[in-house]
Amino acid sequence: MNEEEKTYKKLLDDLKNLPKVEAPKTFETELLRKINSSELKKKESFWDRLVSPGKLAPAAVAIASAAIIFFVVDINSEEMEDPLNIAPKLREDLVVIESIEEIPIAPLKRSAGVNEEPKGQNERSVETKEIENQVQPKVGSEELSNTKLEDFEKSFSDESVSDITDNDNLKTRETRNLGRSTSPSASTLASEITMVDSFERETKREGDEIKDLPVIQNSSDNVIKENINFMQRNLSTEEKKEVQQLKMKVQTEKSAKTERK
Amino acid sequence: MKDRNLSEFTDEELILEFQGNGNEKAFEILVQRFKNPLTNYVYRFLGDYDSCVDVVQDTFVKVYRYKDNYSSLAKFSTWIYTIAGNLARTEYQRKRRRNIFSISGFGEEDKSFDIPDNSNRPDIAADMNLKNEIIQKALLKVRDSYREAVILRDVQELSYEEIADIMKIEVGTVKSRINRGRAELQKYLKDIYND
Repeated sequence: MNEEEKTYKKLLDDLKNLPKVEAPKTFETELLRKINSSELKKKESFWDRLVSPGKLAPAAVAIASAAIIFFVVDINSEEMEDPLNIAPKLREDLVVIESIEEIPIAPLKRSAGVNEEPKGQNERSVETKEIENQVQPKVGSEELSNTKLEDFEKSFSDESVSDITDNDNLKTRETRNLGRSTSPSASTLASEITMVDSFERETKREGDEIKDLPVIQNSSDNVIKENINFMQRNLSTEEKKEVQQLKMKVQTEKSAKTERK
Repeated sequence: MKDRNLSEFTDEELILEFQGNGNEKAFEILVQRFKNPLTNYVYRFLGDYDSCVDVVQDTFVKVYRYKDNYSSLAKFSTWIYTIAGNLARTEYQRKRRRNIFSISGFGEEDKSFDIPDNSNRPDIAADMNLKNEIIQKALLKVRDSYREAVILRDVQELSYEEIADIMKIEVGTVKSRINRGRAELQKYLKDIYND
């Protein structure tokens, strides 16, 4: 160590003899001023500035709005409805039938008179509820009384429960019913024959339609006797006689044809 | 009576008095004791008197504000020299960056170089002869860590242990740095000592 000091002896002496630099005379005054200014700065600390209302209010508003956005607007919601995948509204006035067994086919009701045969045809056709409601007042307004209407509805509802769906069965049964219910009165024979023919054609056609269409609509050809008289006229006795004669004429022609055969 | 008693206090007793009782008189006595040594130390380190005074004042402001951080286990001189050394180092690096930017002003021909010139300062010029000025300039050329150690040892005449505490390094490292600093300084001053 002494050797080192000897080596740098002159240098060390010069460093020791360097003039001592002193602080200025105003050092304390300046120092007090700095301390006082730093004291003022110190009074308003970081937390005081952070919690000041000028900064709290905007922060509170920002937090509140963020919370509202978070709870109201759920960006990742999977419950959003895709308008293309929304199931269409079900129409209450239509009854969709998926299988043939569900078709409420009413068998022909055996009736005592010719007057009820068209009614039987009506019952045979399968209708939706709406169509039923549309048709029934029409029928009622024409000739059916309220009691008849009730009987009609009751029979329709009872028989619609039955499981008769086979078209062939239906056809044969209806034909049988027609055979039974037809009265041999001469006055109605001509119309009866034409109705039977049209009924058979209709039955066949509707049977084919039932196979294809699950929803069976009302047939426009369901003609009842009361509907034939479109004008709803009350025939006078002379007119009735004339009609009777015409019917007889047709009947004789028919019987002649059958005899020839 | 009380003032006289305070002036008899050691540095550690004064700072404890200032800590415990908030006695600002104790602080003023500490300022009186350390303002010149610290000014000399910082000036030798920075080479700029104005910056040196600012650094020393900031050192006392820190002592005033953070008096509670002082631990009675350490010497007060060590603590205050550490604060002053840190501030001086920061100031020196800041001044150096500023000088680099001012010298390397791209394309600005009329921009003046900001090289400190203390030769016209009357308070320093009176004390400085040519030799002292050369030594000071040579000191500023020495590496920062070596210069600090050399100043603390050969100018401020502190012990190796104190220097080790101030610089927070081992005593051996202090000695090594002092030797290297002296060698470097000798190299810069070889023209003077060869004569």
